[in-house]
Parts: sequence; C-alpha cells; structure tokens
Amino acid sequence: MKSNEWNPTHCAEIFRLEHISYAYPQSEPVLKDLSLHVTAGERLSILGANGCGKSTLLKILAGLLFPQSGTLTAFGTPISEKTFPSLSGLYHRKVGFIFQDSEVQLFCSTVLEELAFGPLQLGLSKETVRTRIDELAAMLGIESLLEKPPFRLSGGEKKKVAIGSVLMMNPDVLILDEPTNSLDPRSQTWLLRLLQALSKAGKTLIFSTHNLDLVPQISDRAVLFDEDHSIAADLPVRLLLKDTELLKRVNLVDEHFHTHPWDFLQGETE
Amino acid sequence: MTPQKKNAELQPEDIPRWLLETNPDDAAPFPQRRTHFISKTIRRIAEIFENEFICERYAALPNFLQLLDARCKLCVFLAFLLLSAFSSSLVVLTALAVVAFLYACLSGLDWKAFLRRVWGYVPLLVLVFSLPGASSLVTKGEPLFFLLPPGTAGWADGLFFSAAGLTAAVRLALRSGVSLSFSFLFLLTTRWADFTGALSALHVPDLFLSILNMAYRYLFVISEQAISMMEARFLRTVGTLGTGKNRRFMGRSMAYLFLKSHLLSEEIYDAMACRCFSGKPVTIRERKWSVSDSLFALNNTLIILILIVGEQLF
Repeated sequence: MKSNEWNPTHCAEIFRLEHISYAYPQSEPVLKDLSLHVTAGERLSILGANGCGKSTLLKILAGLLFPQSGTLTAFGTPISEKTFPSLSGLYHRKVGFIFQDSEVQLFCSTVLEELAFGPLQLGLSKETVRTRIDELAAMLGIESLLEKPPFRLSGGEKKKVAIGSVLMMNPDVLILDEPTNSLDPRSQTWLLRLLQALSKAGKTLIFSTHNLDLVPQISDRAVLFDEDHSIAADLPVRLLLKDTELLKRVNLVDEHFHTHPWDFLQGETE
Repeated sequence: MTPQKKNAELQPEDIPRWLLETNPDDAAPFPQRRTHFISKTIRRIAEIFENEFICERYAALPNFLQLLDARCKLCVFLAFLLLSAFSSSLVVLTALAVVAFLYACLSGLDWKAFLRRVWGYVPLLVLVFSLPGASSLVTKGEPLFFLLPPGTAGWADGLFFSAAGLTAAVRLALRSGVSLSFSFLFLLTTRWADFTGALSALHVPDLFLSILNMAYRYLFVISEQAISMMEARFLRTVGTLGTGKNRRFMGRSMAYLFLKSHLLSEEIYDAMACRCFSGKPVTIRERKWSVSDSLFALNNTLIILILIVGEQLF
C-alpha cells in the first residue's frame, strides 16, 4: 500500500488489536492473545506489574514492533511489518511516542536541533519549524535551554525536551511510556496539566504507568495486565481503582493501597 | 526468597539475621584507595568529550573559524592536509603547523592545551617509533652521529643516524602533527550538525554519517556507564585484587558494555524512526556561503600556492 492511499484523518477508531501475541527471541511471550481497541480522543492508561508487557504493547502501537500473530488495525488500515515501510512516515507523524528513558530520545547536539529534528525530517520549511520551536519552547518553559546539549539537562528538563520533540510533529495520538518516571512532584504536576490540556484539545492519550495517583487525573479508561501477560481488566478508571482485590491479585498494589474520593473529583473538575 | 513467598508481604523474620546486625565486619581489610589507570583514563576521555565536543565549548564561540561556513573550512583544511601529504619539505610542514596554531589562537582555543594535545603525544610517538627506521639499519647516508662506532660488535660501518634518516623521521612526525592540528581545529570550531552537513555536502555516504552521528552522541553515555561500573566495583572491593581478577573484570565489563551499547543503539534508532528519520542529516541552522568564507578560501589558496612555489624554488 502506498502512503498516499492511506487517509487516516477521519477515523473514530484509532487502534484495533485482535488476538495479538508477541515474544522476544529466546523468551516467553510478553503479550498473549490480546485484544484491545482505542477510539479517537480517548484517555487510556495501561497498568500492570513490572515485566507484564506494557512497554511492548506501547511499542506495537507506536509502530516499532509488529505482532507475531493476530491483527493490528490503525486508523482503519491493517498494519503489518510488510506494509508498514510505505506508510511509516505518515504513521509516525500521527502517532507520537515518548520513551521511558529520555536519554535514548535525545540524540542531537543541542535542544534546538532536537526539537527541529522531527519536523525537518517531515519536510517542513525552516521558517515554520523555527516558529514552532519558539512557541513550543515558550509553552514548555525551555527557551533558555535551546542552545544547551541535551546530555547536560536535569531529568525533568530532559523529559520536557523529549515531550517537546514529539509535540513538534503535532501528533494526533500521544503514547507515553512511564511518563512520570524520574520526575519530581512539581514536574509531575506540570506534566499532568500539560496532558490534560492536550486531551482537551482532542489528542488521544495512551500511557503506561505505575503511578496510580496520576491515573484518575488523566485517563478515563484503564487496561490492567495480569502477570501472565493477558488482560485482566478493561474498565473505566474509577471502577478499576476501586477494585483493590483485583489490583492486589495482579501484584500491582499491596494491602495498604487505597484511593481518595478527591482523586476522582479532581479529574472531573479539571 | 522462594517463588511461593514472592508475592507475600515481607515479614521481619524473612530478613536474614546477619542483615539486621549493625556491627561492621572489622576483620576485613580496609580497601586502599589507589589511583586506577584505566578508570582515570576513561574519566578523562569522558570529560574531554563532554566538555569540548558534546557541549561545543569552543564551537559556540563567536570567533574566527567558528564564524566560517563548515564546507569552506573543510575544503581548505583538506587542501592543507593534501599539501602536507605530498610535500617533503620540513619548512612547508612547519609552516602548515604554524598556520594551524595561529588559526587555533585566533579562534579562541586554549593554545597550551592545543599544543599539548596535538604535538604532545602522537607526533612524539611517531618520531620515537620511526627512529629505528631512521638509523643506518634501514636508511643509509652520510653519518650525522654514531650510536656505535665503526667496528663495534662486528659492524664495519657501526650504527649511526644519517641526516636523511632523521629528516624522514621528523617529516613523518610533522605530517602526523599537521594532520592532527587541522582535524582537531575543524572538530573543535564546528558545531556537530554543521560538521555532518559539510561532510554530506562533500557526498560522504549517509550511512557513514549516521554511524558517525550515533558514535558521537552515545560515546559519552557509554563512557559514563563504564565509569559507573568502575565506581560500583571500587565500592564493593575490599583489599587489593590480583591482576588476573582485574583482567577478567575488564573483559566482562567490555562485553557488558558492548551488549548494552547494542541494545541502546536499537532504542535510539527506534526513537529516530518515531520522528520520521529518513537517513539524511538535516539541520535547522542556516548554511550560507558569505564574503568572509570567500576571503578565507582565497587567502588560504594564496598560502598554499606560496608554499608550493617556495618548495619548488628553494
């Protein structure tokens, strides 16, 4: 399929995964017979204990890995390793992926080059890219970092630049792998507000996290992985987080876990 | 902990008794803090790489070479390197070394560090290693001075250095110094994006540039990991380890870093692919050939011509 035949602009269902499985070489399957769908504008969190397959699922959604069995449909088009190269440019333009480790995502010599990398690869003019950089840097509060090398930034600054480098391409879907990892509480609140604003603007948000305080604030629906790499639950967040027995069974929380009513109220008022 | 206990809550009785004791094991010999050559070297390399290349300490200055177009600089420096490769005159080679040194000073580089790094190691080693070839064992000629007088140990001619032999050795050392000077000068005064852009303009294959980019970006990350591994080992080392154990540790560390860098490079490529990487280096910085670039090119062409003509005449 050629990329110009693919028109993903008006598609309510962003992703549909049916009975997909994936195993890394010489390893047990990390995803087993998994079925899932994501609609446009949805806020979805992927939860589960360490090593349950969350990151692998996100990489499949980001077009970095391909299911070894089952079908993946994105924007109404079946995606496979064979067909993907012809539509990868448009796919990556529509689906932004923010890595858990910002270090791997920041590979340019300065923050300015980092932010410009994606849009320049897309073929946008330098003037447009420069305007976008100025506006985005102001929004993220990183204007003073533009000439600095990414390696010299703090953890929070690196995360901001990593997010900025993806937002520069203005993706419709934002996939975040453990977005609050290595962030201090202040930066976590900043990220929360940003994600809420992006969600209001109509972006689809999919993220994996262990931070259950964050989940009700920025997601409506949660998919919970069991330790056997299958889906244990796919429920509205408020229902899932109240089911502490289920969360304990999949080893995500211990018996001291509890939620507060204001967790949900805050999510609604925002 | 047994698999059955894996998911149960940790009870105080699960913790081994010795772990709850607070008395340090005084019988163990205290680790001696010694300067370790390898960790010191890796740390120094990482420091230089981080401060001077990654941070573009000198490339960001608004000085002489930094203001020039990278393509212009690259072409001029390549011409100098070609001249040094084909010239056999020590005067020409020395003149080229002086030109490089002057450019370094004009560009705000630390001249002492420049001289030390360029001339302090490689050319000296080249000179030392080429000395046997410069002796009468390989290069004959009029004796300049004798190491062994004629007739010693059955050598009728003795062992000596001739002017031709020493000139050849010095020429070799000068050539390596001049090559290093211009390469170093170009690297330090050019932003990485402009550097790869200039190579791309000279039709260096994109694959080569991609590999170069990866190496540049992650050498620092890998060297930091190497340092962390050394530090972790030092903190857990009681007493002195034998050379064999040290060798084994180095071997394992290198293998681990190799595997780690392999995984890292895959992740980085994924990150690049996610941002529509097409394999071609692009930069937001404008590259414009200005009047100063033309003047610089013209000036250096004159220098090269003077040196070529001078070598032929004298």
